[in-house]
Amino acid sequence: MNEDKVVISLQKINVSFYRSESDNFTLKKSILSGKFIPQKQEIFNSFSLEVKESTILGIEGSNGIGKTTLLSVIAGIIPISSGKRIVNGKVLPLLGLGHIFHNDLDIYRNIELWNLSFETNFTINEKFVDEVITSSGLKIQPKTLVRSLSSGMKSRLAFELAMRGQEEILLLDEIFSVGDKNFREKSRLKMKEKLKTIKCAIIISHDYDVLNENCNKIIRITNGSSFEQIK
Amino acid sequence: MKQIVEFTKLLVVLQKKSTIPGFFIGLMPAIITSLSIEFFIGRIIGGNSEASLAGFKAVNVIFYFLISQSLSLSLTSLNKYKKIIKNSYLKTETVILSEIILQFINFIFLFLLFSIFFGFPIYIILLISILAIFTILYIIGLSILISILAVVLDDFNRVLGIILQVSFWLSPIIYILRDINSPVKYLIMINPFHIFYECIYLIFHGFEKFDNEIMIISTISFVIFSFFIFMLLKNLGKKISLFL
Repeated sequence: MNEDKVVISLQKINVSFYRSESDNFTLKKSILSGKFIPQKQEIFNSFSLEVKESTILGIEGSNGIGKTTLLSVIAGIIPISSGKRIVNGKVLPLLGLGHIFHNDLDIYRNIELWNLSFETNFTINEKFVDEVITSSGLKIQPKTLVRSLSSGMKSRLAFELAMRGQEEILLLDEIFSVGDKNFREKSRLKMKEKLKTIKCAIIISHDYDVLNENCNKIIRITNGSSFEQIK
Repeated sequence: MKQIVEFTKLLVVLQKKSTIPGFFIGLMPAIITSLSIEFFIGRIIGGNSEASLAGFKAVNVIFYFLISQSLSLSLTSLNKYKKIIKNSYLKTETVILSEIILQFINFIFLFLLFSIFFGFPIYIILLISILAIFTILYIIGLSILISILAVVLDDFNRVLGIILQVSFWLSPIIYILRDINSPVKYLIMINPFHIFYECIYLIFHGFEKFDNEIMIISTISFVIFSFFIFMLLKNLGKKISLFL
């Protein structure tokens, strides 16, 4: 691995959101107020970040500062309004375990949903699904509906699928804070092994110990345009 | 393309249409409404003068179902799968297209069923199929443009429901536009979707019934509506992920 090679580069990016969900924006309200577009909220203003090969970057910061948004921007899910975004490698954005599953589909179909949502190239058959279920330590059937799983069980399943992907860049948002103690310990060990095989990773956590244990560099986002390096 | 095909397959399972009975149960509302209008309500309203054109009103109904269900279900789905879209590479266009493809499959199946049942001539089958393809392409474009409204406005689906209900009564589905002799007929003609029903009318009744005034007003209304929506929402549509 070439440790000087830049894998992720964000150069003076600007990112803004429209706060429709939180504003309960309705047609009636928009007609009465004369405003047809919700209020724009700036998240990042001229923000720059570089992640080199072999780096496991930890990010911390207060709630709502834009940590998850930053991962979405790196993954290319959210567009930037200006600046430059360069990402050299296939990305797996895990922006919350279990968000990707559909409650009314069974495990087998949900793995298919994962495959198409993350553009992974799993060859899905009964054997593969059984392997995923067994490795995740769950005692369920491929035909079990996801709605009957607890959030911890969903997290286990999602984590197992994430570990099986061939992505070169991992973006992990608070994935160590879910599940029971046993799961957390196992996932931490699995993650350690996984991190050895990829180009780079970014981990978000409010738990400094998690970041300190897994990351070789840690930053704290202080506002929408800057961060401080704390490791 | 692969994502659209795979997501459509999952929607078939989700909507419980993956089995033959499930698929038919899904078609029941359209079958019941179209046959009721064809054999019962439509006859009462229009009299039996249209009896020689068996199947015309039934086709009108399934065309309405194609337009209304494609628009409403694709936009409802967008809200349903918002979380997944927000957290992965599932595209908004994939969700919209997949729902519309399913509605198109329903339409084609029902239309073929009615073609056999009513014994439509080949030229009607061909022309209606071509019209359905054009309609669906238009609906795809329209859905993608107005999808932003479905995401931004919390009450959009309620409003859309009302618009579609009004559009049902302002479309010559049960009645014949040419039978109306009051100025109300202009209200029907300015319905932006009226042009599709006018085309169905001409396909069934023959092009000698072509009426310049109806066609010009319908076309102008359709073009103005499409242009207005396009100009208003073309830039916003691209930024949909910022609203999710």
